[in-house]
Amino acid sequence: MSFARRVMETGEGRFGVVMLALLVAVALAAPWLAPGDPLAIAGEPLLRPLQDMAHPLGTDRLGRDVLSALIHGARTSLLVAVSAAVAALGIGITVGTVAGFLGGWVDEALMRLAEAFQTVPAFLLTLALISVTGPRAETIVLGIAIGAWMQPARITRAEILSLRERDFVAAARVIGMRPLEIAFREVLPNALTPAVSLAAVVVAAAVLIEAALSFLGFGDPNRVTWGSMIAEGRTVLRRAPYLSIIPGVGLVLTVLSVHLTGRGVARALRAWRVLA
Amino acid sequence: MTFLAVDGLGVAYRGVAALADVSLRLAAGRRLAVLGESGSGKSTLALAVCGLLRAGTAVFGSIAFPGLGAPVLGRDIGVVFQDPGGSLNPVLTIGEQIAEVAVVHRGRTWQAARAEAARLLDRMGIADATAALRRHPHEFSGGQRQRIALAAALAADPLMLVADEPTSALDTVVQHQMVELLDGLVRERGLTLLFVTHDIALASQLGEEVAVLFGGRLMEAGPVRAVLRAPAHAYTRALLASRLDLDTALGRRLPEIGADFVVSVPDA
Amino acid sequence: MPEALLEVVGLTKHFARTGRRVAALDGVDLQVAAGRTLALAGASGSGKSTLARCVMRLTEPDGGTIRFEGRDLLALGGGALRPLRPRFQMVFQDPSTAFNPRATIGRVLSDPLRVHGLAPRGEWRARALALLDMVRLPAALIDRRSHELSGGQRQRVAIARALATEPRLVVLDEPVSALDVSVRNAVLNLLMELQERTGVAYLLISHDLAVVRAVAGDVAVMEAGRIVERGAVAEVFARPQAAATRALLAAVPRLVV
Repeated sequence: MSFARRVMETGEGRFGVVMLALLVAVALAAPWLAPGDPLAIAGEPLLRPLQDMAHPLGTDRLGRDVLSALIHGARTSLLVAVSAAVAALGIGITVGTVAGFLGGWVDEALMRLAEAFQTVPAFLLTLALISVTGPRAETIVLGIAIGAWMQPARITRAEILSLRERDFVAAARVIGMRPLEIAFREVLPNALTPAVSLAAVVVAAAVLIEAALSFLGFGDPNRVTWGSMIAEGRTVLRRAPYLSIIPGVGLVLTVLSVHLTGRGVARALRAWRVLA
Repeated sequence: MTFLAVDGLGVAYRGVAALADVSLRLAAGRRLAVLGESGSGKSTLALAVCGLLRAGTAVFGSIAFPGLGAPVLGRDIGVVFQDPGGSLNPVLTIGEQIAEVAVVHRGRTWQAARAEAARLLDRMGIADATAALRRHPHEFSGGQRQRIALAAALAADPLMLVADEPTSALDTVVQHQMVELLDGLVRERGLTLLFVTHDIALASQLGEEVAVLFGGRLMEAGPVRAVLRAPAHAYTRALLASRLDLDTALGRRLPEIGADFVVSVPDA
Repeated sequence: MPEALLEVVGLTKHFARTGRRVAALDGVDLQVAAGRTLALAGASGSGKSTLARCVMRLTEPDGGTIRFEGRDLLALGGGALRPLRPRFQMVFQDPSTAFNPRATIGRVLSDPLRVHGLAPRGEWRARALALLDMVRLPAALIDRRSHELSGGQRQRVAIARALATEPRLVVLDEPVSALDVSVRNAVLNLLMELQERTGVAYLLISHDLAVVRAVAGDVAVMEAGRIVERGAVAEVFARPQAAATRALLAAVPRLVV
């Protein structure tokens, strides 16, 4: 409880958490806020915002409601980004823990692998995977995770290395605990903080990668996403710039609020660690 | 002549009192042992005297240096801490670190300061001092690092030395050498010394005055012989009665300090 | 002479330090008899802690043998060693770093029982409470974490953890040097009492000869990776032969009144 309050005490934290909570609420409530299929034609094409109050943000080229698409797009963006971040952290933390704790050739092999992945830009990696497996939401999540697990892995490994020599780890060996249990039950919970602080960066990056993929037409065709909205709007950019600007603003706000929340959490964690 | 006057000193970190109502006098050239255990406030007292309390710490009462006005840390007061690693910069050579103190605070040239640093290191018992100047802190043992920290603390020729548990991270043999070194330096240089310790024997060996702290309060203070011969406070008596050394009479069990500082030997 | 509980023969260990090979252990022989206390005294860097860690198999020695209850410990791999772990335990120097910061005292004390299947899950809490009682700590501490305890209380928990599996040997690595002087004697008393009750043997690592004198029957003095003197404590302290022993004796702080 006091930790949440600490996050809220930082300026960034307050703004980020409120914005993010709003976005999540909208995403969760999408079926009620904007019932029906957002891909269905709802009215005349290319209505400007505020022109017809039945479509407050206007309609697109095919006459689909922009507000409805925006709301459902938030759902897709956040779902994909959060799942990808969870997967990236899961892979990264596991790899980092195993590498840091076992050391030796296992460590060498895993870290060389991470370096190999890092030499390829995350976006290209994701793109390559999706072009092979096809644009389904799950493969997009996996693709983003595969491009983003390396940094959590490195950070976790560094933390594990510094914890590994502590007496409490020696004490666990002395009582006869098995190495994997020591790594994941004794050491890892004490090494999570820095990797978890990375979550915000990973989520923000994932939002952007997902949008970029959709923009290029590699998104899940059965879902509305902000990236595909921007791509759609591009063809009529001069006549109806709002079609690209509105989802663009959504993206900016999402990335910004995730980043600020992350900064707030990181600052609160730092203060909390100093006290503990 | 009073060198240091502490009156009604209280210190609180985030609303938690670490020290309450401590008053002390220390004459110039005298040695004060601040004796206490963890949580006694003894390190807080040393930090307060040096003006090193963290920003935002609540301080009550006063700390005055009547003959000095406002002393400058490093120039007028030298400090050594328990962990010598913490006060030495790992990326600089020890020569740079010791000489810098004299350059900054005494306006010496680097060349003169280096020569002085070599003499100081030699006095600290560091072998081949001139060559040692070019080495980095990690190349020395814990005991040597503590001597180097002491050399840096004394490089600007301060009037007072504050030593916060300078020997408790060291083993008894190195501690013994360090105590002898401190004793000699204080004599040669006429330093006023405030040192913090948890060891009543060390206080008796190195101190002339003693201030006994417990739970952030001053239990008693006075000349060390007088206090140890006739302790006024039950806590001091308990520390004396339960002290373990090579002459302690040994039964089946050792004397323990219980509630209200009552010392008793449990039944075996 | 009865067979020793612990027998170390010709133990060697080198560390590479700034390119040079430094001998931390240079052919160490020692024996600990069942139910007795052998103190291993020496200045820092003499190799005594390395020896302790080798005995616990936390550090791999370069050569020599360590026999415990007649079995060659160094010949056993991780899996074969594990069933023997309950029989030899260790108390670390600094009780503020010896516990997982996230573990409750209850978990700390039941871990050895769980790992070795020495008690069913339903009994763990009762066994942990009994261990707390054995080291004279209040039962209420069972749900606390180690950082909520005082240094003396933490070291009592460490002793309870070491004794949870009813070991025959406990290595005590400077067990009171990180503690406040006012609680040291009580912890030493507890160690002596538990030895009388359970017949456990101690290998006590210490640089403080006052502690050695109070607790141990025999002493071995180490210097530069070798044992330079050994014998009954009273004998060695009365007539020290080695320079290292004399230096250690002279270094014990004396009250000057």
